[in-house]
Amino acid sequence: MAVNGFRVLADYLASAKRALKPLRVREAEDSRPYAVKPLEGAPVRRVEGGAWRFAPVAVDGSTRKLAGPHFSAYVVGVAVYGLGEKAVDFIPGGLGRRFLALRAPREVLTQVERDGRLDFLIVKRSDGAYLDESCDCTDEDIFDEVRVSMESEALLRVAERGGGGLAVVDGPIYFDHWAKTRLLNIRMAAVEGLRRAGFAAVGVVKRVDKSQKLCAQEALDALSVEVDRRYCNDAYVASNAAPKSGIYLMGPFRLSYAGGDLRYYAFPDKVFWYASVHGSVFRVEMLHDDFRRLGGEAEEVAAWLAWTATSRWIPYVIDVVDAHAKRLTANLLIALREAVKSRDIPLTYDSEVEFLNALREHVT
Amino acid sequence: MSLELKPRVDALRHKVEEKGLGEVLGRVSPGEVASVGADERRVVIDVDFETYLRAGARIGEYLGVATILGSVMLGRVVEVRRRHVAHIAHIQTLYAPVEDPEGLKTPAQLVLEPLTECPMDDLDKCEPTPVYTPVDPLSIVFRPSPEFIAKMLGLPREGILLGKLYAGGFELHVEVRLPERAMYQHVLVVGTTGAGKTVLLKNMALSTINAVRNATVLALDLQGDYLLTTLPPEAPGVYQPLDEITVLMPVTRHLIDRHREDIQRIAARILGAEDAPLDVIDEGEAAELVGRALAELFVEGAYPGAKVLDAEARTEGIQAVEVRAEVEAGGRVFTLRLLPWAMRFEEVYPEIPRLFPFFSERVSMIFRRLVDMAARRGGLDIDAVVRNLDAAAEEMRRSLRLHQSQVDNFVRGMNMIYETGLFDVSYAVAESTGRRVFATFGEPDYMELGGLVVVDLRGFREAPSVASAVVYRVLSRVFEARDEELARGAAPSPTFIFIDEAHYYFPQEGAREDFNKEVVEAMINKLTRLGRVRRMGVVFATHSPADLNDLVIQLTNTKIAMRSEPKVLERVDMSEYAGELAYAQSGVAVAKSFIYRTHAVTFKTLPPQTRHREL
Repeated sequence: MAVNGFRVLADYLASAKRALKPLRVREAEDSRPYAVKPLEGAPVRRVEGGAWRFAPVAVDGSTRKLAGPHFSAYVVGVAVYGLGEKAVDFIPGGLGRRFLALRAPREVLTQVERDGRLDFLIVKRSDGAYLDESCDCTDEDIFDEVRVSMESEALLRVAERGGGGLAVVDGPIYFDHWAKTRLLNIRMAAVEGLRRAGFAAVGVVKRVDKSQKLCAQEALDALSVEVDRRYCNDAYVASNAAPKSGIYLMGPFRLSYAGGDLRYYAFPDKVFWYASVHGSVFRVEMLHDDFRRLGGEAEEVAAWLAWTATSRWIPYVIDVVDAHAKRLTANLLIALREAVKSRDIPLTYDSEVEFLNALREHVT
Repeated sequence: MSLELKPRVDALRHKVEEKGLGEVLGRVSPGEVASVGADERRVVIDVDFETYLRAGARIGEYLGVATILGSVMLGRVVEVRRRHVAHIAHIQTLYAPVEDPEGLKTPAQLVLEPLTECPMDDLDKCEPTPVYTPVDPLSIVFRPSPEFIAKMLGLPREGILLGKLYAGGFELHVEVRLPERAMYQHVLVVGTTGAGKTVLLKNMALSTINAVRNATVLALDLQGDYLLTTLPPEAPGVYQPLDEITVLMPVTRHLIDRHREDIQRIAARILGAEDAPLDVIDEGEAAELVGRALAELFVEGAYPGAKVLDAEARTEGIQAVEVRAEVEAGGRVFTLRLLPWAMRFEEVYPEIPRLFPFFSERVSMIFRRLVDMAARRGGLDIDAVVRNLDAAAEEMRRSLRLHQSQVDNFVRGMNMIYETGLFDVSYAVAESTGRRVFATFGEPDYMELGGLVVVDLRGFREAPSVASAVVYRVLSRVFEARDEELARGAAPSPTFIFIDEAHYYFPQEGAREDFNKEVVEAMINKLTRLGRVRRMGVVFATHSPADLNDLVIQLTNTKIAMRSEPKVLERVDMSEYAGELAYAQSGVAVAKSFIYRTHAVTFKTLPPQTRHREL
C-alpha cells in the first residue's frame, strides 16, 4: 500500500513549482497558571520491586520528517501494545490508515486531496486550514496534529475492545497549551471513551527538561530542594530530590489549572509523580478522577512503571511501543525517501541525515 | 506488489484448500531469505500467534508449501523460533525480570528444510523429485494430510511394515514399510535396552510372514520372545498372532537326563497307565511317545498354563522327527510344530575342527583320520569314539608319528565335544537286558522349513559355545538348502534370519568363552555377503554395534536406530540423528536406507502385535 502510494505522491511533488517558506520555530511554552500541591505527605519513596502485576495497553507515536524545498512530509507511526491477538498493532496497519501530513504549495495539496489513492494523507489541520505555504504553524504543531489524532484513534480502538485496565500513553495525558484546544478535545474524547470502557489512562512523559511543574514552591518545599526558580526545571529538581542510585518515586502531586482565564477550565486536574531511575527521570500522570477511582493502586501503577524501567531508563511498556513505533516510521521513511529520490526531487541535508538514521535503525 | 501477482498469491491459499492438501498455517516469511540451493535448503515461515497457539509447532513435523511458481513441496521443520516482544525491541529491564505474557503474542517462525516437490497441477500423477524450484516469500504453508505426506515422501506401499511415520513427537497415519528387496540387503537395528528392538523385530517377523509369499523367518531366540508370537497381545493389533509356529528344539544329553523322569511320567499318562513304567514294544511308538512327551515338556516351559489338546508325532525308525501339537494358550489355539534337534556325530564330524576350533592346527588337519582310527574299534558314534580314544592313542602315536602333546590335544578336545551333549542324543533306559534306546534325535529336512521357525536357544544363555555350535550348524544347513535350490535353477525360497542380541554371536575381544564364535561370525559374514542371490536376508538387532564386525555394519544396507547413545549411532554412521534419538520414546526409530527417497524416515513401531515379555 505505502510503496505504491508513495510513488503516486512523488509524482505530485515532482510537479511542485514553488518553494516553501521556512516555518517559524516553536517558542517556549507560555507560563501556565496552574497550581501544584503535594498529596498524602511523604513525597519521596524508594521503589523496592514487587510482582509483575499489571498488564496495560500501551500506545506511542513516533514521528519523522522528510523535506525538500517544495514540501515537507511528516510521517507518524503509532504502535499499540497488548490490544489483541498480536502483541503489537499499528497505525498505519490494522488500526488505521492516515499517517502522513503533507505541507506543500496549495495547488499540490488540492490535487493530492482529490486523489483517492492517497487516502493516507493529511493536508489540513484539524481546524480546516491547509498545510500550505501560508500555514501559521511550526513543525511541532504539524506533528502534534497527526500524532495526537492517530494516538487518540488508537485509544478509541482500545476503548472499543473494552475489558478495562490501564492504558499507558507515551506523553502527557493531554496537551496543556491553550492554543491546542482542538487537540485537547480530541484527546479528551478518547480518554473519556477509555474511562467509559473501564480504563484508567496513564501518561508517561520522558522529556521533562522544559517542564516546570516541580518548580512550584509547594513542590520544592515538599521535596526539600532549594533552587533558584528562575533557572528551574523538573529534570533538575527531580534528580536532586532523589538519591542517584536506585529507583525512587516522588509524589503524588496534584496539578490544577486555575486563574482568571476561563480557557483553562477545559483542562481537568491531573495527578503526577516523578520517577528517578538512577538519576534519570520521567513523569507519570493521570487524571485526578482516575487517581481517586484507583485509590491506593494509583501509586502502585506509578511504582510499577518505575520498577520495570529498561536500559533506556523508561518503563518497559513504553519502551516496547516506542521501539516498535520507531521501527515502523523508519521503514516508512526509507520507502518514502526511495520514492521521492526516484523522481529526482531534492531533499534537505537534515532529511538525508534522518534517512541515514532510519536506515541504521532498520538494520539493527 | 504488482497487480498481477496479488491474485496469484491469493489463489494459492484457495488451491491448497480446494485440493484438500491440508490446513493452512501461514506464509513463507517476507522478512527472510528463502534459500533452496545445493548446500543449503532453508525456508522460514511466519505463523501468527493465534494459529501457533491453536495448531502448535513441532520440531521434525512435516509441512507443505505451495509456491508462486506452481510447485507444491514437502518439508521438515528443523527449527522453531519464538521471541518475546522484549527481544524483538531489544529491551532489557534494569531490575524487574520481564514477566509480561502479552509479549508472547509474536509470530512463531518455523525453519523448514524442503525435501521433495511436485507440480501443484499434476500432483496425482507426479513422482516426487528433490526440490529444484525456488520458494518465494509469501508462498502458502500448510500442515499436510497423511496422504500428501506419504505421496511426497515416496514411501513404499508394499513390504514389511515397520510402523507409522513419526514426526514432531506424534505418530501419523502413514505406514512406513521396508520393501522385500531391501530385506535381502540386510537390516541392522540398534538401540539401548528397552528402546523397543525386540518388539520391532517380532512385529517385522509377523509382517514378513504376511507380506512375503512362502517366506521362512528363522529366529535365533535366546529369550523365548518369538515363542510368544502365537499368543494375542493386550490390545488387538494390525496382525493376528500366528496360527502355526515351528520350533527347532536342541535336545542335549543334559536335557534328557534332567527330564528323564518327566518324559517317562508324561509318556505313561499318554498311554493311560499313570505312574506305570514305560513299556512299549513297538519302536516307532516308543519314539512317538518320547517326542510327544518332549513336546508337552516344551509347552509347559514355554507357555505356562497352556494345554496340549492333541499331539501327533512323526518318526523315522526310532528317530522322533517332528511333533505337531494343538496348543490352547492365551485364549486361542495354535499349532506347534516341534522339531527335536540334535547332531549326529557321523554326519558332522568332518566339520568339528571348524565348529570347535580348540584343536591344534596339526590335529585339525588329520582330524578325520584320527576319528576313523577310534571309530574302527567300535563305530562312528561319539560314545564309541570317546570310549576307544585311549586304545587308539597308541596307534596314532605309532602310525602317524604324532607327538604325545598332539594326541593329548585330540583326546582332550574330543572329551570336551562329548561334554557338550549335542551329539548322538537319544532317550534310553537301562534295563536288565542292557541299555534300551527308545528314541533318537537328529536334524530336520531344512528344505521343508517354512513360516516362523524359532531356534530355541533359551537353554544356552550360559553355554555360549554350545549355542554357537547350534547356530552355526542351523545357519549353514539353511544356507546349503537355499544354495541347492539356486543350483537347481529354481528361485530360492525367501528366507529371513532374525538375530536379536546379535552381539552375542560375535567374538568379543579377550573373552575366552568366545572360542567358536569366530565360526559363527564367519557364517554370518557369509550369509550377509552371499545371501542376496539366494534370497536370504538377515535382520540383526543389538544394543552394542561396537561388538559386531565391520563387514556386518558395512553390508547391512538398511539401518534402523532407536534410542541410543551418540557413540552407538556413530558406529552405524547415523550420528546426524543423535539429537532426535538420544532421548527418544521407546518404539521411535529412524530407518536409514537406500530405499527411501529422503534417505531416512522416522517412525514409531506398532505396539506389540503379539504377546510381549516385558523387561
